Amino acid sequence: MKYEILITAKDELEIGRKKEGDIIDVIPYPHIWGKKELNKYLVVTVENNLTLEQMWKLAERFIGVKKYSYSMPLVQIKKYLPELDLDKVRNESIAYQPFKKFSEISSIIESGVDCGVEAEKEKTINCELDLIKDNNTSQFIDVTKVL
Amino acid sequence: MASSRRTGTNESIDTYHSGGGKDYSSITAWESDTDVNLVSAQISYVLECYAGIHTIGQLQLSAAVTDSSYFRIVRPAAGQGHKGKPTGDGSNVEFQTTYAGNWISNAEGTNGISQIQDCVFKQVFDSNIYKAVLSGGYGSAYVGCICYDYSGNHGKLHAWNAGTSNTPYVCFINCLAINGERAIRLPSNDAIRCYNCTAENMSQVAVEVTSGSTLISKNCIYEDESITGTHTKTTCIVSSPTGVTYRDSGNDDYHLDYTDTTAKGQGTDLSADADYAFDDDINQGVMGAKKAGQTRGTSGKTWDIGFDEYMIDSSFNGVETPYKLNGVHAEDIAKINGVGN
Repeated sequence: MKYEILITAKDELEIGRKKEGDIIDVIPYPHIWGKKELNKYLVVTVENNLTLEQMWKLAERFIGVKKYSYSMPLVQIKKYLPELDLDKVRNESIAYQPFKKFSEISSIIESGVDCGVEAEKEKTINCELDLIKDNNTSQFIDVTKVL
Repeated sequence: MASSRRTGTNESIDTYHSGGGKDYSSITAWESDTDVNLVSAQISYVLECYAGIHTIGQLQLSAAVTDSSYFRIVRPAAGQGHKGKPTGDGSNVEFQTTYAGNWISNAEGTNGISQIQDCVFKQVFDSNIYKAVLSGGYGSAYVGCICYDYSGNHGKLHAWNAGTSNTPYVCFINCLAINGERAIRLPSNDAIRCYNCTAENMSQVAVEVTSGSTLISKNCIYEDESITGTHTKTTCIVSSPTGVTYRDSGNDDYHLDYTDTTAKGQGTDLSADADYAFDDDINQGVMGAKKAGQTRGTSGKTWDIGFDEYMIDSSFNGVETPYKLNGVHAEDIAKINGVGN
């Protein structure tokens, strides 16, 4: 199954509000996002064998000091995608969504089409995202199995 | 007179459709973006939803700082509201899920009165522990909401719930729960206020109030109850069967039929209620219903019991049953024409 994960692009200043990397929502791929979401969040596309119900767990909320369940810190994502421009991700005046492109390439890979270098990059990203641990709970759901 | 649909001071409105094309396609993203101190910002955030089947995971309105003037509201955009009956065809603002847990939570914090208005909900999952479709706390309210066909196999999914020890009470106003397992379950030290609600066709029990919990019901229809806590009732019908005559309950139409004598005109006027005063019914005009501006108790009529006030369509200029037009009940003509409540 393919999913799109909506990730917070930057910290909000107030205590207890969402922080950069917090997972806000998980929606089946492909999805048409709203105008405000594309400017405020980073959309990461993943593929795995989890059900939608399992994936929704990533976006669960809790009442208490920590509201959000899981996080994909942008700095860790950038380790595996150096060209990810964090300034653009955090700039709400533009809709910077580099992973949208990779999602499309991902589907082509599945069809057996050779996409060359960029396809390899997509594989790399998804492989390495396996290593990103959530920083909020002891549980970890592996959301990014390789293609 | 007060509408049951509260409005916030200085509303800032965003739009929503899960299929895109609006401000938001993720209702949780809107919730997250508006999770701020509304009081210091002096703003009320509103999400206006467009009709469709919206499949979502958990939604929790929580942690924003609110008061009686500044709070959050989820409601249909103008003309997108339901007409008092679930359709399942995308003509209503309908949220569906297979999420395995307490699904919609509206518990904004102390003295918050955040509201979810005029939406339809359907949750399907099999849980062996008690879970709720809609839950709330701290005086939050669900107004004009429908829960239908919510089920699993263990009989432990219920429509309306309240957080533990939350005061003031969570309010359910003009709400309908049908074809589920339970309508209300208050497990421990919980408190709910239900006004003009209807709960029918439950596989378990319509109302379950356990020791230490309190349910206050006015003008409600429940097919049965199991009470070890406190259930205070004012002009309610609690019996199995309820004896109420509906338009077409077999097809989920729980509007009162014109022949009904059990619920029609038997309610208490709540327009000056000390805790939640209101005077409108489930498909009031602002949200696009055909009965523009319908209020309960107008023209000298008494209030009905149940989620929606009985009224003949306004196109008949007040001609009300049992009067007939050319030998046909005005009500039946309204049905043929697809109008009426």
